[in-house]
Amino acid sequence: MYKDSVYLRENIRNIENNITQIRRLRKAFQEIMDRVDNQGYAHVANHHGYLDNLCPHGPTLDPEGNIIHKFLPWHRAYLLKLERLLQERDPTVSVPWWDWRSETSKKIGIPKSFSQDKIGKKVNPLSKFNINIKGKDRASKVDISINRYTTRNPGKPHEIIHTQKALSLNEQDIPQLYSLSDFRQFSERLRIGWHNFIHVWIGGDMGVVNTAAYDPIFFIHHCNVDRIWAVWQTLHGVDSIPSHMKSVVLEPFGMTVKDILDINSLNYDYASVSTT
Amino acid sequence: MQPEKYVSNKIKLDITKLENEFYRADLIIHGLDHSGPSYEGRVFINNPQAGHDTPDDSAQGYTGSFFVFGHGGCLGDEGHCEVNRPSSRFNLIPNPLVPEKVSLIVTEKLKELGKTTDEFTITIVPKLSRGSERACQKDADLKNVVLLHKITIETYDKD
Repeated sequence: MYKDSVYLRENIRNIENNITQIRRLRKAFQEIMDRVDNQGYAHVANHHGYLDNLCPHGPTLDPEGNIIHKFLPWHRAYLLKLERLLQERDPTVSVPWWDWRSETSKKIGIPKSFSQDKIGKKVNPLSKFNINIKGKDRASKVDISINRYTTRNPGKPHEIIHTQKALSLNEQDIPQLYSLSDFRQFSERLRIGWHNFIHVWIGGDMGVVNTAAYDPIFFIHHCNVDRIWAVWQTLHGVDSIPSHMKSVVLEPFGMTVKDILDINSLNYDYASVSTT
Repeated sequence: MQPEKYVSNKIKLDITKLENEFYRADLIIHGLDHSGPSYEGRVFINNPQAGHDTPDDSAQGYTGSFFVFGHGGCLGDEGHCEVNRPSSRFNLIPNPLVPEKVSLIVTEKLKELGKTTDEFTITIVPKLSRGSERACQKDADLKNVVLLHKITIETYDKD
C-alpha cells in the first residue's frame, strides 16, 4: 500500500484480514527462502548472528571514546535490506509489525499467520525456516554447521500482561518511553525491556542472538521496535540523536546512521501513528 | 534442570541516616554477562530463600525482572570469549560480549524494608528462555547463568 509516494508498513492483524495480502507476503518470503545466493533469506539472516555476527545490541565505544547506541539504527537498516529483497519478488509487499502490547496479543500470543505450522500440506514460510549453514563464524572464527528447522517455545499469552506491569513499574513500558527526550535512554530501555522480553518469551531460536534472525518472526518483532522508534521521532524530532553517532557506519549495509534517520526519505511509513 | 539462583552479599544502607529523603532508588547490576543462554532474572530483596516456586509477589520481596538476550555460550575453547583479551588493532567491530549494566527501580521496596533494617540482600532467580537450549552451544553452562560484577543501590534526592 502506498501513501504520498511512500509505501506503508501495516499491522500484521490488518494483513491477516486480507487474504490476498497475506498470501503475497507468504509467497515473497517463500521465494527468498528458496534462494541460496546473496538475494536470499539465509544471506540476510546470517548478518545478525551466525555467520557474520554484525549485530550490535548494547552500547559500544567509538575510537574517540564516545558511547555509540547502534541498536535501533542497525536494525532499521537490517529490516530495509530484507524488505527490499521481498519487494524484488513482489513490490506490493512490506514487512508488517507485530504489536505485542495489543489486546489480541495478550489473548493469543504470536499472530496466527506466523504460528500456523502448515498451509495445506506445505510448511508455512512465516512459521519456520530451515537453517542450513556451514562455515566459519566471523566473530569467533569457529566452524559452524547447522541443518535443521528453527523452533520456538513461547510462553503463555497472559505472561505478556504480567510483564507489561513489571516493565511499567520500571518505567520501561512504551508510553513511558515516549516521554523520554534522550535518545540513549529511550533506546536502552526499549532494548532491555520489551525487545529482550519478546526474544526470551518466544524462546527456541529467537532466544539466542546467534540464531534469532533465522526465525521469520524476528522481522515483525523488530518492525514493531522500529515503529516505536519512528513514533518517538515524531515526538522528539527525526534528528534527535547524539551528533557523534550520525557518521557511524552500519555494517554491512553501506549506510551511516544519518542515512536512516528519516523513514520517509527511505520511502516508507507506518500505517498508524498510534502511540500504543 | 533449573539454573542456580544468585544471592548477593549484604549491602549496608541505613536510609534513616540519609541527609535528605530520597524520591527514587535504583538497584544497579554492573557487568552482567550475556554470553550464555537467555533468561528472565526475577529479583527479590531480602528474601534469600526465594526460589523457582516463589511467586512474583511484593510480599515475597519481588521487586521486578530484567531480561537477558543471550548469545548461547562460547563457540571456542577455554578463554575464547574472554572479553578483556587484547583485540586486533585491525578489528574495529566492538566485542559483542562486553557485559552490560541493567537497573531496576526499587524505591517503594527500599523505603518499606529500610524502616526496619540497614542490610539488604539481593536474590536473582533466573528463568531460562524456553526451548532455547537447543540453539545454545552443546557445552553452554545452563546452570550458572547469572554472572555479574557487582550490585549497587543508588538513591536520589530532590537536590
